[in-house]
Amino acid sequence: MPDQTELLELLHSTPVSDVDLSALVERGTRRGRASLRRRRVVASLSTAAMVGVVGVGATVVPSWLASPAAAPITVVPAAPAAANPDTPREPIDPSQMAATLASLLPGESTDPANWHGQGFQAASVLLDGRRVDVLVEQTWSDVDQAKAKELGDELDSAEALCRRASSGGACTRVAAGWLRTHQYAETEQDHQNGIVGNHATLWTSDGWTVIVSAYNASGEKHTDPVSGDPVLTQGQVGDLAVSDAWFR
Amino acid sequence: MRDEREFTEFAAARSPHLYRSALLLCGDRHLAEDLVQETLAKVYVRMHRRLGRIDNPAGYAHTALVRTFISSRRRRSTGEVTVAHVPDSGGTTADPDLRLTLAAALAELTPLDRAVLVLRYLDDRSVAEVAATLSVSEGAVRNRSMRAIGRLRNHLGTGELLHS
Repeated sequence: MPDQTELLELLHSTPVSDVDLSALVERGTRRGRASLRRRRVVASLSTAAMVGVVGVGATVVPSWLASPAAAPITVVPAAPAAANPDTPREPIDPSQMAATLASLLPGESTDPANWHGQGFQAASVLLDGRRVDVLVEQTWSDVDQAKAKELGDELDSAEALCRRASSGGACTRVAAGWLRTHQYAETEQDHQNGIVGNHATLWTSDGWTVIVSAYNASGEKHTDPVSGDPVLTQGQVGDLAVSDAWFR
Repeated sequence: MRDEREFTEFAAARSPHLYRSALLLCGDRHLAEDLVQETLAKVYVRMHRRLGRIDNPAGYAHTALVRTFISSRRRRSTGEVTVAHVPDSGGTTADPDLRLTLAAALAELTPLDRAVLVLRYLDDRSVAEVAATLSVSEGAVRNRSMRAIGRLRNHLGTGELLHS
């Protein structure tokens, strides 16, 4: 029977040479990038969006913007999307994201910005000086799918992903998949300045994730709140997320 | 630690240790790889968010690894894979049979016991640190640690699992 020292040596001697560690690091990094992108990709545009912000005069601001929390849902009523896993849809041209977002919003939006990369596309606009952004991305990257195939594993369904999300709010079945809406205040240690966002995440049945966020400031961070409430309610960001306008 | 290069250097330096821990925790190469990837992704996100510097990145990564493992075991309570297989490759002086027996013995432990072992003896954490990491009492860490070590020593001493 080995003594404790031998046992510890045995634990420490577990071989690691059977794995390609550099590939492991690369895949972990890629997964981290995707995760970070999911949360912050649109926020990375905030600096650019700050430039040339044009104040929207009260005469052109729709009345509902003055009290977003009580506003009726007045985003342009694009039909809620339906999704079929057997015939996955394709997102719209990335260059059209901001224009599409603007077309769904009442009133005049400013500072449109588009952003896209491998497996995702995003856009943001300012509405009444407050930020609204949308992100459409593959729920499972090609790497994830290949790995699952290699392992003979099944990727989590839209419902499982929605139910597992720990962001708060409740999961609702919608035509295109599963929707979760919630609100949170930014709590990063050095930026607790009252920025609040309403967020909606739709996991579609055909493999896409649509995230819509609306803030009470012109950016997610590094700026001051314009109002107490985000520019869109949770219901409104939810309506935007389930819109079929993001797909061809 | 916020730029890409620094993260890559950190990850490259720590990945052998993380993988070794993951392999002991999971008992399966593929699951261990996935656990390390998920852990690195979490560290990447943490390093790139503006939450201030991580005082001890290596400790943070190891804690993330063990917590991710524990939570994944909770999610997949019916999907536990207990594979008594450690790839028999070079680079170590340990007896291959002994290592196989170790893997089999570890597979018999509960996920939490494995986590205690890895944190206490591979990562050299104090009882208090392990308790805090796993959200259990220090007494529970001591008990689990003693029980797990005892079971490992028994298995390794008799080699019963090696031939079962």
